[in-house]
Amino acid sequence: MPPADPELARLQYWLQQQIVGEAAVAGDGDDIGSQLGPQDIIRGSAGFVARQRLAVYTRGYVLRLVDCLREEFPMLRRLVGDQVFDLFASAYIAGQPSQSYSLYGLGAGFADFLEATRPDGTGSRSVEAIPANLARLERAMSESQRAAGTEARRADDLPIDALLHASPDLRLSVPDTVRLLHLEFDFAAVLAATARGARPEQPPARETRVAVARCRYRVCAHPVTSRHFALLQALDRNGGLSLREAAAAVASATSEATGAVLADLMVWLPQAIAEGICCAAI
Amino acid sequence: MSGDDAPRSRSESHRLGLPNLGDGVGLRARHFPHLLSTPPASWGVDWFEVISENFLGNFGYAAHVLEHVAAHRPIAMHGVSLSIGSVAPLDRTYLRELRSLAERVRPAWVSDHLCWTGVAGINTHDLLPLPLTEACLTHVADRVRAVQDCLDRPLILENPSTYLEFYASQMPEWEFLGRLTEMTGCGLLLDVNNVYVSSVNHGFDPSAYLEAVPAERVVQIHLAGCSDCGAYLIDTHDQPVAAPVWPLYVHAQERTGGVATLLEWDAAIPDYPDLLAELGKGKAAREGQLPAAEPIVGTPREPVSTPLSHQLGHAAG
Repeated sequence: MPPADPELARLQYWLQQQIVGEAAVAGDGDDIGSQLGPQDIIRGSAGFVARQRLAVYTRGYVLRLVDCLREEFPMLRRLVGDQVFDLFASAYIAGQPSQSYSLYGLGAGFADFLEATRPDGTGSRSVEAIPANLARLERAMSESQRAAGTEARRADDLPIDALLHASPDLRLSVPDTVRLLHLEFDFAAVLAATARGARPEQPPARETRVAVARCRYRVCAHPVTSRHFALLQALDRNGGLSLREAAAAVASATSEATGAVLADLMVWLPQAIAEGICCAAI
Repeated sequence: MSGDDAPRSRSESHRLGLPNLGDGVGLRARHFPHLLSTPPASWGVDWFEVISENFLGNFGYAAHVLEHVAAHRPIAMHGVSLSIGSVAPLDRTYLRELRSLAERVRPAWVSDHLCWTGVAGINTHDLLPLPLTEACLTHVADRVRAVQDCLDRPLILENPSTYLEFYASQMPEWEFLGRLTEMTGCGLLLDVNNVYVSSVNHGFDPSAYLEAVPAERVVQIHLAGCSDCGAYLIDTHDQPVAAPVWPLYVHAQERTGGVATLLEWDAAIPDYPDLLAELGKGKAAREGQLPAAEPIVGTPREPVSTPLSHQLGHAAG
């Protein structure tokens, strides 16, 4: 394809710089932007001058994307309120313009941004650390909602019989819809309050391991023990393990006897499978 | 006379030979529970339009709903990130995913907008206006041909609402679109609300616009609501269709000989029955009963053109 017209490129770089601001990659638009104002480039009218016309795009850019982040992070929005949330979101958009064709990509870096901008001198379990932790949880829930799940599997794919007999050949894996999170706060009450439509209280600082999972297209955040978390990490890391291998991996990680771990897993796994936290490997 | 030389019949050239799907609405997450719990015979629409990007890389509930809906109604794929006018290279990854989705959904057609969305790797997620120059026309035509080759089907392009025009422009939008269809064989998605919004914002006659676009190339019509901001209008998709748009819609339907109608409603989305009631006004208008004039109103908060947050809606399964 022939190179684009230089004048077209100059106008596009200029307009994008006006809309996105300093974070926009500088291009040929700088050349005309440093010499000419909007009134020289945009045809205005008496009641709707060039700067007003440009402002429809510059204001709309931020408002539109803030709306999208509000949609993806509703719990954080409720917890901190609209004003603070919009401040976070606007700063994020200003610093990290979207580079994805999908709006879904917009929120991918929000939790890391909140963590990186946490005030100096605040601890990982300080109140200032809550937004990043909660954003991490909400992003994981969004990812789970879109991932390829196990809903199309038949009910008899569930290896309950194999579990009852502790079959060493039974292979387990973690579905693509699962996200494993190690958080510094317990968000159970925040999740419950949001589900009720109530404004959540500040979550308690508490080390929490969570498996975000999807079952019948419903995404839930399940608190899990350190033993079960170790199991899920081992399954995820290895792309699936037999029941015996999984028990051995957990026993190694937690310094427990393999038999005790195996017994615990046999009791827990039917529930975990039913909740979409793990599944029979195919 | 050989086959190549024979004049094409009206049915072949009209709408690029694509069907008139009837009256449809945009498939939105807010209405997923209703559509899954209601028999298709009671959906009250002939077809649905989906925002393509919602379903790229999405294998969750939305994909499940789309599969169900597509089994019972025709689907059209409508994109917002093709960025056909950008000077940035075409995003081949995006195009591959778009083609893959089209193979899965088998849409009646694939559409996007005459606009650009970003350069230098940035996506503003807005439908930004182009300088309507000869060079830009050549540039867009080259890219339309490339996209059509990739998708192996004609691209249908929509006229966007615009709020600014460049001094550099050398022709009106209707001429640009008409020549683009001649150069590339692409079709048009004629958004009559966008024609109206742009006509107010730029001071042209919307009827003249409709008279000038090549009617035989129009495959689909969009209807939507806009917001009154005093000196100008914004395409907010958050309220009923404005009264001045209905005569334009009837005019467009008469000129085209009848094409598919799609009602867009993307912010403050109403319940499904209310959406159908608004869509029903289109049929009444075609039958000579123009809806009662309702004022265009502002929005409770600052109006946003091209609202997109509905794309991230998490309707539960």
